[in-house]
Formats: sequence, C-alpha cells, structure tokens
Amino acid sequence: MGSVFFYFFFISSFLKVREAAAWEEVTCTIISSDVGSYRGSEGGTVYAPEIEYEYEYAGRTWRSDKVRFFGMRSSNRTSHANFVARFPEGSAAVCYVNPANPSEAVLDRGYSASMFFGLIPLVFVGVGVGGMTYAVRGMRNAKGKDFSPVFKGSEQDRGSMGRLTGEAVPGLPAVDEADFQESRLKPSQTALATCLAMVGVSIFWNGLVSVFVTIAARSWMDGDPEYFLTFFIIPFVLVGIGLIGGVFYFLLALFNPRPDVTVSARAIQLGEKLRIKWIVNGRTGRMEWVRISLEGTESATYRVGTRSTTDTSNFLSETLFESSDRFAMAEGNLEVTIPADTMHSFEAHNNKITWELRFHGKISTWPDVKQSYPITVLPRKIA
Amino acid sequence: MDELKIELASDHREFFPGEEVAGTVSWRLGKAPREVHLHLLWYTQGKGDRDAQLIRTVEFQHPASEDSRPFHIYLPRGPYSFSGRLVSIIWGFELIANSSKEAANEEIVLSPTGKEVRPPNADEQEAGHPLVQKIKSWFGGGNARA
Repeated sequence: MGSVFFYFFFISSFLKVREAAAWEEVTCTIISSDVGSYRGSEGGTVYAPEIEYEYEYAGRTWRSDKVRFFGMRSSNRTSHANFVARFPEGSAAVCYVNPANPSEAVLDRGYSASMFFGLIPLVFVGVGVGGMTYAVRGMRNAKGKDFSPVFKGSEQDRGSMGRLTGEAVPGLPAVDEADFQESRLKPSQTALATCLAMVGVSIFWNGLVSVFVTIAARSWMDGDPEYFLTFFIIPFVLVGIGLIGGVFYFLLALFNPRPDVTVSARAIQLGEKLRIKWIVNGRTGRMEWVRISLEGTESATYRVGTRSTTDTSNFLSETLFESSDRFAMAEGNLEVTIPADTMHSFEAHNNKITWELRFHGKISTWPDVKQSYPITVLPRKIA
Repeated sequence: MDELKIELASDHREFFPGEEVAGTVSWRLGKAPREVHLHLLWYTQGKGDRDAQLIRTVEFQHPASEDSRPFHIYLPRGPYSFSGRLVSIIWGFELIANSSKEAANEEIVLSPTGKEVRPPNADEQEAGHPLVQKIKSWFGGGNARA
C-alpha cells in the first residue's frame, strides 16, 4: 500500500517535472488569482494558490488552473499569498505547455519543497519490507531436514557405474593444469575498482540530494525559509559528505604499497602444504605491521522480492605471519598446511564456501593496505 | 497407496568419497510405471536460497508395478556433507516413478572423516548487527556486546 501511495504522491509528479523540462514556454494571461482555503484532514484550515490563466497555442485559446505538479496545500497562508502576489489578475506570465497535449499546461514546472511529503509513504514501504524480510529470515533459520523430491525427471546416464575420480563434479570449483603451477595471485578487488565504485555511488547520491539542497538554499535566500525541508535533508547531506570522504579515502589508498603474492599452486587439497611468497612494492617503510592470514568463509545469497542479499560467515581465520620488522614485512615466504579436517571450496548459484589469503598492512593516519587473494581448496584425492 | 523404498546394504549411512554404495530399491504402485529412477544428489539448506545438483541417475528398465532391483553407485570426490552457520550441504538418494507422486528418500553423509564437516562456529547463534544487539541490550534482551 505504501508503494502505491509513494507512486501517486511522489514518483508520478517527479516524472512529470522531468517531462515538463521539454515543454514550450508560452505567454499567458492571468484570469484570476487568489489564495483558496480548504478544510484540513484534522479539522483546521489549509491554503493553496488558485490561479487560472489563458494562453494561445496552435491557433487555439486554452485555459488551465494547474500551478505546480506537486500538491501545494499547507497551513502557511503567508507563503501562498506571496506566491499569488507574483501573478496579479490581468498580468502576463510565462506558462509551460505540453506540445503533445496543449490542454496541459503549468505555471511553475520545477521541484518544490512540498514534494517531500510524497516520500512519507516510503516509511511504510520500509516497515513492510523490513517485516517481510524478518519473517522470511525467521523461516530460513529453522534447520530441520527437509528432503522434498528435487528432481522429477531423468537425466541421461543409463546406470553406468564409473567412478568420478578426477572428473569435474558439480559443486566443486573447476580447475585446470595451470591452477597447480606456481602462480602470482590476483587480488579479488583492486584499489582502483573500489575507488571508482565509490565515486559512482557518491556522484549518484550527491547529485540527487543537491536538487533539494538547492531548493532549501533558495528558500533561505528568498527570505521565506523552508524549515521542514532544511531539517529533513540534513541526514541525506551527512551521508553524502560521508560518501565524499569515502572517495578521498580510497583515492589515498591508490598510493599505498602494493603486495605481490605468489603461491606454489592456486588450487591445493585439504591437508597439503602451500608455499607463499610476497614482495611489497612501494614505500614499505610506512607500514607499522603486516599480517597475512588464511580465511575460510561461507556465503549465502537469498532473495526477498527483487532484492538480493548475501550474508557471510567466517568459519576459519588463521594468522600465518605477523611482524613489525621492516625487512620481514617487505619480503618473505612461508609454508602453511591447509587443515585436513575442514571444508573445501564449494560453488553453487546461491551458496558458496571460499578461501582466501588476506594481506593487511597497518599505516598510521592513512588508509591501510588491505588485499584479499582467492585460492581454491579441493577435497582430498581419492586413493 | 503407492510405496517406494530404498534400502542400503550397509547398516551405516556414512560413506567415504569414492566409496561404492550398494542396496536395493523396491516399489509397489497402483499403476505400472514407464520409468523408475534412482537419483544421487546433493542440495543446500540454510540461510541462502536452495541449490541442488543431480549427480548420478540409475534408470531401471522395464519396471513392473511391483518390483525390487539392486543398485550400486560409486560416490564422487565431493562436495563433502557440511553443516555450517549459514550453509548446509546434504547428500541423499531419491527414488521416483513417473506413475506416482510419491518418492522415497534416503539421506547419507559423504565425508572423509565419517561425519559431516562442521566448523567450530557452526553452533553459534548469528550475532546480528552490532547496533541491533546494542538496542536489544537496552531492553534487557539479546547478546549485548561490550
């Protein structure tokens, strides 16, 4: 229900404002101009401008009383009187006409502070989505064994009994010969990619918020401040400032020392030894300490409506190396035995078990060096 | 009423990767089926949406409405049966006949240790977001964090 009201009270008007940017500017004559009064929903009186105007378009004369796309009723009579005073009866004004439908016209085609009331239904949408999410999560957390028939048709395979040793098995990550050779590991996400993502999000968010900041600022400069709008957008502005801060944080991280990690094999079996070598390029002296760890993580993706969420849980975290010695941090090698009694890598569409090496270099008053390098852990070979 | 049954030859349900699993399937159906299949599969359970994968299928030729057939299947190398905090991987057999809505299921454990792999934190309750925990602690509930 909240979504429906959100659409009618905000989205439809918002889209109309955007559409009207292409409408034609036409001179119109103000026929009547006054402040109308109405009974409010809680018994008080609310006011709104009532302006009727006439214009010529495509050889015909038209009349309209549409002032703005967003609803204008409020208890602030003075504000409406000031607005109406700009359009005295008999005066000429500029209106905007829809060329595809000349009967449609508007006096003020921009955004207004009152449009924020159209966002109120979002609160109810949020409560509804949150409630549904909580309910679905509660159902999912029950861990009963539910073995309902999964496949109701046959696959090919007429009963051959071959062993599957060495063959690709669904659920196990696909590996090839190269994965068993000494390899330089690629980080799961580069500092540049992270920075660009943050820039994108920041531009989008701050671009949207700036529209309303401009409206609020203009209202203060016009001497008719929009108090509600001003206080309403404060949290959004704070988030935007945080995002800008994030952009600078990740920009600084681009100048960090970069670890280069090589392993004896990208794919290793449970119980086997893995040799790891690292060299840190750049100004390694800035790092106060370095920690290299082996991490095993479960991740589960679930969908509620059109929204997809992924939860993760670390089931193994083993520190392999930790030092504050400049030379040891800059370059080194070690050998680790992958625990034999733990779980190998697993890949399915919604559920995964992943392994990675994490490199963390602490730098004071500067973004830390943080890189993750995925590896593949395989089940033990069948003898 | 239709009846389908899977009986494993061994008295245990835990198997090593690559091990042979033998047994007998039997069925008693109201109508003679065109096809009867035994599937070996794994599926996931837990927080995430379900994944499932058919690994092997044994098709029983010329099935009668009441019948009993032996089978033996070699298990693959993995994935191991697993029970974690978010994800569980469960192995099993499923016997189905096209003339019946019923099915028979038999769960097994595939693991080199004879038990499903269970990380140390598998039994921990999900702590949840730190802010949520803090709010809960104000009202005397939840696991408050220092």
